[in-house]
Amino acid sequence: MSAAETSWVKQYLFSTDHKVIGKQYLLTGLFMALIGGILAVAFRTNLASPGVLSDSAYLRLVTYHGSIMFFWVAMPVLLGGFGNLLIPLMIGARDMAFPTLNMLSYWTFVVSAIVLILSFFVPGGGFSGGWTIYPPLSAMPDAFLGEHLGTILFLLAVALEFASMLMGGVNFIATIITMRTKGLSFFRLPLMIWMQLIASVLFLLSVTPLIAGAFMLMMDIFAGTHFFTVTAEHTGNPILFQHLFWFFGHPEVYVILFPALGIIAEIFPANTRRPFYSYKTLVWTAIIAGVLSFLVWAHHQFVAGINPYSAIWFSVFTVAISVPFSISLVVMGLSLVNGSIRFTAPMVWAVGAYAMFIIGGLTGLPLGAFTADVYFHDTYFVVAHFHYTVFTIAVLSAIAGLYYWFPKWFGRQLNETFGKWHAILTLIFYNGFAFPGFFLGLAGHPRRYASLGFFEYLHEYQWVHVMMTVSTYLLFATQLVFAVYFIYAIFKGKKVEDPNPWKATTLEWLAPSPPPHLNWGNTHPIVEHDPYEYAVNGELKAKGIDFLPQGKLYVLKKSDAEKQEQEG
Amino acid sequence: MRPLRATDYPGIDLSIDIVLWGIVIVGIFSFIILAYGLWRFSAKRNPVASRTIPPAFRRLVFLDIAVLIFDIVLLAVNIYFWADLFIENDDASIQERAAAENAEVVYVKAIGRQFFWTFLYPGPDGQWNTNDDIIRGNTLVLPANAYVAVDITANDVLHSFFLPNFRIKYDAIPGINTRVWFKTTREGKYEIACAELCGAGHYKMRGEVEVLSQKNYQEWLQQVSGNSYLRYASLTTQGESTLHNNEQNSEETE
Repeated sequence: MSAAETSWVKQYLFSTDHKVIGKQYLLTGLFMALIGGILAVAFRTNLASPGVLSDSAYLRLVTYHGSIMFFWVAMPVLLGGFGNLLIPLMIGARDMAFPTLNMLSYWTFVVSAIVLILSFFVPGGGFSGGWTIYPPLSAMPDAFLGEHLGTILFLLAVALEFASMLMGGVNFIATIITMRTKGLSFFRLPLMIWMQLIASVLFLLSVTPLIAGAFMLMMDIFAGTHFFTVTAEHTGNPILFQHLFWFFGHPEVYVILFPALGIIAEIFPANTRRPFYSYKTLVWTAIIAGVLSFLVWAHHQFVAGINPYSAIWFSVFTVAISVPFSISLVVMGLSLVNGSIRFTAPMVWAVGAYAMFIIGGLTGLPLGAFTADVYFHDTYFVVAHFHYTVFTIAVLSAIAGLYYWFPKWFGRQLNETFGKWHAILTLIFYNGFAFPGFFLGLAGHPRRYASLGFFEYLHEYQWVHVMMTVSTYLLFATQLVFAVYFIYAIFKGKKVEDPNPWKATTLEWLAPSPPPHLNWGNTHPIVEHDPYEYAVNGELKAKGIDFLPQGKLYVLKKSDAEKQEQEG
Repeated sequence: MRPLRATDYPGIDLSIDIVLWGIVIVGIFSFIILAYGLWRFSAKRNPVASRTIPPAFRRLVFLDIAVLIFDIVLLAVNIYFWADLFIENDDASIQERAAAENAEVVYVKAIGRQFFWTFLYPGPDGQWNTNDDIIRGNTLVLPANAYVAVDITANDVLHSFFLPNFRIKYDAIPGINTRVWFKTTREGKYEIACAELCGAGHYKMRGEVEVLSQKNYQEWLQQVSGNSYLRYASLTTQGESTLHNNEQNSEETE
């Protein structure tokens, strides 16, 4: 191997640079999103004209769509991608605390994605028991004919993905706590960093029960145990798995939600040109919601055989969670007031995401209120609700962030007009496929039905499925155009001259675009102000400048610079 | 939007109405404010941003208090009906309710299996495990104006016993018995859907509820009660052939 090859491999493949790893996560996530999107297009086709797919193929695609979008798109993009790309830059560090662990985290993720894709093609076909993997269905060899290899590989892929995200999460926490630059106290952290920190802690605390559950499920399959399966001689408890799954599953939603809120909270101040309305309120409501998220898991199981008394408490806590979230949404909304709103492409996306979060949040109430949920449970109302949250998180917020930080990360520009049209079309088609779900749910349409044809009370709604499918096609086509343009712009986009095109205050905008290896060269950032000092008065105002960067770059002495270089 | 309601028990529909009206009102209000804010504070209308907020907008914090009050009302209503449906669902409470309305109580066991339901009745004598027990496949025959207590379980995987017209749903879990009750009011035929993923034939797992008049129900009861063992034997073969057909169907589509 020649020297040049080694360096290429080190620079782009097995790099320990947080920016390269972040970009790797981002692009892998984009690739997986493409697969997840194709699956959605395929099974929605079956819903519009039943019979295109076989029954088991339909369920398999639904299963993989859900798992991929959750574990292989939302998490790698929002945590792996945005977290890695932003944390060191925003806290004024030169890299993550554990760069090698970071690289290991990414490559474990790649292996998990490969195992997942392999599991789809093994003899007998991939797993088709839904992304929630409920036993006994997932544990019984005869429930689905001959696909056990697929189930095992699927579980293995999920376990690997969690291991990868755990490595990333530990790294994020260590980096944020120990590597903040001088002057950057906790309550001066940009909101995105707070949200990444809370998300990583939630993930760390919630993931273990599910790993235990997955292991027990594998034992049921391999070793003849009966943790979750019931036979004449052995009475396992299928509900136990649901507890283990949702104890993880609910905080998991917030693990991806918080970084998404963080993105919006960064874009709003920079484009309204005024400080965030109440920084501390947002942080504290996120922490409270994070704590509450550990007390609500059984709201997924109101009609699944849990004790009716305990259901009361789970419902109370679930509905109570609407309080911190309504406060944080109101606080975000108030951040627009008395601003001077510039409708740049990222701002249009962020406003769209914010509006969709209102729908997503409110429609959680009919599901959290347990008597109403008796009717709504496992209907399309649930499907519509979680698409209003998860799609908003993984697509709207993530793309908002992409438009916002693209010049910083890649040193090139995305076209503003393109971005705005992209946002408007996405919002229209997204509502076109997701909103009718509320009406289907109200009509009592159960989810995971390959076709509604067997039920007379649903017959009249076939046209709704057709409409939703057409919207899905258009939505997918829109994102496909964006994906092509995005890749094109990475290599051929117009170069940016100004390292701070949005006139934003946080530290990452002080670095060159794109930032070099170790980010700060022979300078070092030191924080002197709060993160969102917009609409400043006094001297700067007289000069026509309306913002005060959070910190300043100081030139290092030569000896210090060499020391930094060696440490890197 | 909801399918025809076949019961005069209002609990679940009332819970749904309250929460839906609540979120629609809060949602529309939020969207109007948001649209106004975006218009009023756009760079065109408001070229210079300010660090302060007019007091009128500060009052939007009351939106949170409105949400809190709404939450409390919502929970109170929900807990009231939840206790009715799932806590006071023992035989004595249901009989009490029925006696107050001079209605009959019907006890049924429902067993879910890929991909059909089996229903067991204690028969005309009202006692379980006697010779006149009734076993029926996939059609639940009931009298009108009766309280129906259903004990649900499953034989293989999870299923969910969903009666859209009665607004009732509960999972069928292997090894566990769960109880739901509902009230029949109108005569007619209604559908039973499965609402928990149970395998490839999940979307075909259709059952029926047939609500007959009191007189017809008694006639039906006399007709079908008899030797349960023979009936069970015939039912299992019928059940197996249903399963077989489902498998064939899915192979055909493949």
